[in-house]
Amino acid sequence: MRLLRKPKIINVGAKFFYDNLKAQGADAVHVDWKPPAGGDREMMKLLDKLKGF
Amino acid sequence: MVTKSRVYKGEYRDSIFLMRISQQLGGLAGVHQASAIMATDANKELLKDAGMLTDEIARADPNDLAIVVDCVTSERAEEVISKAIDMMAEAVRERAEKAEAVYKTLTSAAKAMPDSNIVLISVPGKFAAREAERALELGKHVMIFSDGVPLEDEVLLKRLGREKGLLVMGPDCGTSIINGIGLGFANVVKRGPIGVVAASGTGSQAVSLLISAGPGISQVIGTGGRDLHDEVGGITMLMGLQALADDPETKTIVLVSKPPSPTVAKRILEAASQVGKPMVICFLGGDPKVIEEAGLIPAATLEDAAAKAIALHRGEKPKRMVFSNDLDEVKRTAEKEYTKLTAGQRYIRGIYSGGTFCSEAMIIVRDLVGDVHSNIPLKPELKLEDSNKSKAHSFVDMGEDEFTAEIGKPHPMIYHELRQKRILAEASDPETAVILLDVVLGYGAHEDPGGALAPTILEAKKIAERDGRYLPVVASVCGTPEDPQNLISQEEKLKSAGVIVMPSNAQAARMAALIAVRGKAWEKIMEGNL
Repeated sequence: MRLLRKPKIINVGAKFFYDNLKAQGADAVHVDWKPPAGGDREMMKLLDKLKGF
Repeated sequence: MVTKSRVYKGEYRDSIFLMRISQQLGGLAGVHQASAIMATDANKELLKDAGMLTDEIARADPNDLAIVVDCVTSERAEEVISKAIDMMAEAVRERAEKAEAVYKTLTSAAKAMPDSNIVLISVPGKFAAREAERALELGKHVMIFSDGVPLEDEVLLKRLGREKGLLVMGPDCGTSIINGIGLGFANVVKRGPIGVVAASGTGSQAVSLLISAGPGISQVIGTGGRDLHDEVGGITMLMGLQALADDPETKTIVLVSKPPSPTVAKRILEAASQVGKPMVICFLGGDPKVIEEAGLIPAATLEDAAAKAIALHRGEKPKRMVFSNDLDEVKRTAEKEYTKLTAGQRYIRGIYSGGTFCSEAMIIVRDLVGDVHSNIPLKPELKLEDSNKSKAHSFVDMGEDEFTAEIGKPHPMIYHELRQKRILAEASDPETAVILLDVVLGYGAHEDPGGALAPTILEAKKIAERDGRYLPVVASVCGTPEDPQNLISQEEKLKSAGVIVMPSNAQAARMAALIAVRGKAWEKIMEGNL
């Protein structure tokens, strides 16, 4: 398993965790996540289908 | 008091960021209550309960950001709202100044960093599985910090991960340390040869920092609390074990979890006995026999697990550790406290931020003082009817959902207000013999928990004193000198408030028991297994 190499991290959600990663000198990028499709789960599923995900 | 609000359409901010803004606003002069939150239905309910749901917020959508303040005057309320807006603008400015690239989606971030290997997810629970699935499809390992992810989603994600050879740490995974980088809540530990795989966040923090004082830590792999449930079957625990087995840095392994069902236990122990590296297994509160029968070494407590792993690594015979300080000194310290108690002060009141610490302490003291009531009891019949009200010996885990999710407060490792209130309530109870606390440091935790708790502890001691009582307070600090909060200075802050600071939670629990039973548990502590 290639997990245990030096981590390169994508942080999705609380920026606080990204800041902590950077403070440790980690290689990381931040995704400024927002609820998709206004937070509507049904609409989200439909959009995912349309995008072929 | 005047309540004023402002709603910003479609302005999403994460909950930890908003909690910090809310805290800062709440501390401003003339502010009675203040909140910056997303206008979800659950949050609207909370605002309603607090008498702060304005018509404007009631009409807002879940994607709208609401700022609401309860102030002395209308002018002050306007000023405070402007201040909140400034704080948010400042955060955006800071990011722009640092010229940090910000991505809108996981897919775009993955394109920008194609060799990324872990995705850390802390979005609200109902959206977390979607992001995790996307991460697995992109070929990344996943750590899901979020809780509130449906169990069936966890099963699907972990099966998908296993198929692809990718780890799914979590949901509700508080801590992992991968090659020296802490994800979520993690202490700054020394690198070394001992690997940890754990179903409990505070459990792995405690074990890793105790080992950090010895040979050091290679990896900490968190699995999330439900991984060993029958439905999930320990998928991540088994993969984590394999990862540590394959990791050349890892020479010795510690496994920490609550006792799983016999079926899952069997599967884990079978896999563990095949690893071929020395291993200590702590099924906290479980029967050590099944572990011994599998030819592995059981540990009764978190501290015991760390001590045994260190001994195994050094090729020594594991010894039971009771107190690390001079025993006569420990005895004298306890005596100095309990001789000042009045006859009615009989009970230990544990007020915990870490659930695993709470369990560990209960396991230790129940043999010394008898039954312990709790919101996370060791036996169902010991469940507190009302978690807000102690009964005889009572230990509460204030990180449980009833104190956080349901009442909309952040975890007590980040936010101390609820714990502070509880400490004062216990101080007013004439039956309280001793208050027992855990203080957790590290990335992710409150920036100065000792500084936040010390004034409350002084006040608690004064409350007791006014009623003619003396109130002992015992604590342990889960942290290292390298943590951002610094272990030494945090311990000093507590000591200066009159707290007896013990080197581990297990030792703090023993000290609290000694005080509560006026030293009578000494022989039992020395001769026992816990």
